[in-house]
Amino acid sequence: MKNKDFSYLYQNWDDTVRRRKVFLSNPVFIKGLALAPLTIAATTLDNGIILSIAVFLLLTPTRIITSLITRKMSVPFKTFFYPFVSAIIFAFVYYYMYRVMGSKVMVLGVYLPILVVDPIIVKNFEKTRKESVLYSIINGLRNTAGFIVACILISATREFLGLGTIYGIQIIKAPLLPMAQNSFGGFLIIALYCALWSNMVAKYKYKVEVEARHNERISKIDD
Amino acid sequence: MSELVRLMIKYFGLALVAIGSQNAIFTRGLGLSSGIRMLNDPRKNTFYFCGALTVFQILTIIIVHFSIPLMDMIGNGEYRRFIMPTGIVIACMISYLIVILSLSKFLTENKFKEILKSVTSASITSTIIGTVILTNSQGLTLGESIAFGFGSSIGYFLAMLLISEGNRKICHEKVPEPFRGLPITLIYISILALAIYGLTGHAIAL
Repeated sequence: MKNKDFSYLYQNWDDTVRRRKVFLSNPVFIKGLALAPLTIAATTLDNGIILSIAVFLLLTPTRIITSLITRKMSVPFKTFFYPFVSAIIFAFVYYYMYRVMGSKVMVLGVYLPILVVDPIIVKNFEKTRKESVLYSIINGLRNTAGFIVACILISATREFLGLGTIYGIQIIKAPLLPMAQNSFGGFLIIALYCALWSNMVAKYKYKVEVEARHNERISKIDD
Repeated sequence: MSELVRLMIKYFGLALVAIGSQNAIFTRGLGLSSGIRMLNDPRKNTFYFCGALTVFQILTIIIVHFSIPLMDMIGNGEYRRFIMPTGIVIACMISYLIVILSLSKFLTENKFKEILKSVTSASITSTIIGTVILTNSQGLTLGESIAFGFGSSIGYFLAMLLISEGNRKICHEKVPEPFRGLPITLIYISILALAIYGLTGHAIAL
């Protein structure tokens, strides 16, 4: 990264955090969204991929439609309109996934249907700020990418530790941590990832700050 | 009389299962994100939120129970599982209207405004959707579903009390910086979930 980029990042830190949903404001590791499906259902990479596909097909279309219609709605109406739109889209998504993937989709039980009211899908109904369609698309895709990264990491880790496999392929004979397959193992693994992520974000912020201050000093000397 | 007692015991047992071994948060993780957000939002009150959640849960279960024949009209029940979330969202809307209209009649304007935020947030959560789908997929009767739903909400309330109290008592200055906030709360929940697993001794089916 160029030195002037650090100065730009430092000066527009809040904006940078809002834009970089995968790393700096990950919806799962930093904001704690969609924890229910990830702690209970994301026990194997296969399940993680199904959850990721569902969120990919559900999140951005819901954001686009709600941004078009809810501009003049008050909060109580938005509270129901967001889940209502996501539930209708979900009906088609669920049906399509069932046709393509078969009974594998049903393995996730209630954890696919509850996505329609999960804060990752309907999180901004309390915000009064209006969203343009373009912003909804970009923001929706960024959130989806953030979720997918978290979901794949968590589900692969849980499968490896709990079953000794990755995507069904045997890696080690005996599982290292069978509790990773249970709810408490899920909470613990997500907590560790959250801590790791916060640490990386803090270190990155520190690096940006140091580099930006260093650039400032150099430019003052040059002047 | 003995039939009534038998039913009461059955419903009580179901409610206990929903409070303990199938606890909404510790075992099923339902409503966890909303719960953690609520703890960090000073405008929302845990008591109002959980009280409203219990009422919404029961009302939604009743409405969904009677609207199942309507859902089954599409494709003779073949598509029920796909349209069920939409049906539950509509049932939540109706429950919300009933509760808000009742509260606006019986409460003073200031009190109504004070609790409105918590009540609105509680009206549609994954705890409600998850519990309604569970009771339907398990083929429970209306009475059994209400008992399970009531137990589920009480379980959620008790879990939230434990989490908020734990959060209050954790000495955050002594927690390593990367673990402060969400990670330490999740570790605390993990320990409580492990304790419940130790009591029940089995994992739940999804």
